[in-house]
Amino acid sequence: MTNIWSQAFTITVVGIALVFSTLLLLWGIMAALTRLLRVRAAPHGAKVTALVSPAEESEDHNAKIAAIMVALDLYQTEMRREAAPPVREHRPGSLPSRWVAIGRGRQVEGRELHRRSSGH
Amino acid sequence: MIEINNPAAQEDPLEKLREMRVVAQAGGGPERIQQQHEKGKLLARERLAMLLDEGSFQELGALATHHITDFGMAERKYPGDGVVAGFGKINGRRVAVFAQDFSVLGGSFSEVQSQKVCRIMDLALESGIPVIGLNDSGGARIQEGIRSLAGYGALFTRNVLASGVVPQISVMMGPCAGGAVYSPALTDFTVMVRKISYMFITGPEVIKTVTGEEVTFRDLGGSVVHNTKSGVAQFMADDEAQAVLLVKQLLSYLPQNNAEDPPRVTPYDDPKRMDEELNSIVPRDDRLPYDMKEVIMRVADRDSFFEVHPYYASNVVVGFGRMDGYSAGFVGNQPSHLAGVLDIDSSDKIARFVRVCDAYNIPIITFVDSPGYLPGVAQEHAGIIRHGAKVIYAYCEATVPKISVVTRKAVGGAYIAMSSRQMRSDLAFAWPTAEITVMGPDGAVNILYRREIAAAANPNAERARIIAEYKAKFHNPYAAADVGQIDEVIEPRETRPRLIAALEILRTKVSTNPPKKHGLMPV
Repeated sequence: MTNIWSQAFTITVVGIALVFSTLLLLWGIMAALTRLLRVRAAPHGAKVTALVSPAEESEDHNAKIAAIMVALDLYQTEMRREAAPPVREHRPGSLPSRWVAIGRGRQVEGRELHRRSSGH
Repeated sequence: MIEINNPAAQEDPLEKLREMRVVAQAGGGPERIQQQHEKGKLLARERLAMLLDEGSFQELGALATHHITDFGMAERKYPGDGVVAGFGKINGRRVAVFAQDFSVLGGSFSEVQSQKVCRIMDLALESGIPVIGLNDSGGARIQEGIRSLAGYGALFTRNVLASGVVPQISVMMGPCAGGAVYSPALTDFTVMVRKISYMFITGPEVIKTVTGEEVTFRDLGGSVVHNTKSGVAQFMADDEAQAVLLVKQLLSYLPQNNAEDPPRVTPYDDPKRMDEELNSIVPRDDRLPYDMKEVIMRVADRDSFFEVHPYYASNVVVGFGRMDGYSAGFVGNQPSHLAGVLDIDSSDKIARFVRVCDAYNIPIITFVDSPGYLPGVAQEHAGIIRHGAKVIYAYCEATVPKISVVTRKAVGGAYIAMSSRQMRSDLAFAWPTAEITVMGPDGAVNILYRREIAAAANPNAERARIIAEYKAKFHNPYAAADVGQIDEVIEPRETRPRLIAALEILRTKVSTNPPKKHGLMPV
């Protein structure tokens, strides 16, 4: 009985030791690979660096943003001038309100009544 | 019937149709197309491609040809017969269009051309969509004789029936002579392209023969003449591309038809924006001018003012703009030109614009600063009474929301004519600088205090004193506000938010006129 327990204990220890040593080995390989390749993940939202000085990079970037904003503004202005679909609230041909539709019908009704009553 | 030379096409119906379409697209042939391009002019289909949304054009009558055999016309048949007509979209809006093809028999107007154009106009009228015509024609096709004239008659009838029902815009991209000019004249707006377009009833040769006057085509009926002197055209474009752009911009302020509202743009300018500059824009000295156009541009949504007739009768400014995204018509006396007096040309300009706005459910905002009607024998003999009456007629008849803002002078007849309270104006505002009087101080004092001035020891000093007293008492908006002729005296900077709030209330205004066949506008 004591023999079985000691065997079980031995197997457990050896097994755990094997697992953890494998893990350690894998960790070691990954660390070595990382150092070898020097790959660093970019932090979220960082700018792509170019071979220019920080001052010049900021100026170019700001100029680009300014140009894009101006272009967008000009585009929006032109779309508004033409009442193009991107800036238009209602589809042309949409009916006016019922009140207005009935009222505008009445505006031309007088002439229609005259036309009918005069036999034309 | 179009002749196809390809034998294979004769056998296969589909091939035959495809060949015929190719022939139809060729217009008057490569040589004439090149001639057109050398003159700096585009072809009909090229113009339509610029105007319409890509892939939206549906042509009708592409294969129609004339049936005339006189004068060798049997050998001169071109599919389409000199006009490309059909339907398309401009910024997603359905429109009917026709474009005359100068490469085909000089774009001359024929019976078949008339049938094609009248066909699309009939459909446009039934569908309630705008009609846009690109004119480039040598006039009536002489070989067709009376058929051509009858064709014009049919076209003019459609122009009149559609008038005030669907917007009609004419773009002159070439010559237009003789009776043909009446079609654009009957439409709502005419755009002329510089250097390539001209319009006249009788040409320079006939004029030289009859009256002995010598004049060039351009000086007789060019774009500058009709935009500045005659007022026949409302817009002038530097080139065809700009003309197309003007059409698109103009259309953006107009509805599809007289039963609908104009398109609304997503608001981008704060409706409660108060422009402090307006508080000081009117000079304290009422003899000094200022620019009414600047007032309008500051009140309307930013960059939305689109002036109509900018080069004609500069003593008044008219045009479309937007208020909180909604289309509005603006009328304003221009104090920087002739002190903003009303005369024959400006009266015609105002009356026409007011009627266009009324026809298409566009509210009218009128800025008033006018010392009255222009005096003079020339004006009287030319009929200023009749022309001035047009303004009154137009405003009184209009049933769209009408709001007036008196910025400075509103004297006598000019006060009445410019959308005054009693002429069915819905709301009348005035700035503190408003001077609402029956007559100017000099004239009034001379009449009312003639004896006192004559009896005074120093008549000039006495006159000056009385004038100052008269101005202090009457040259303000408060007397008019007191009797309800002005609804509210407002600060100039408040103008925009007050107008937008007023327009919001009046958006569903519907009022009617007594039934009649039509009124008798003093023409």
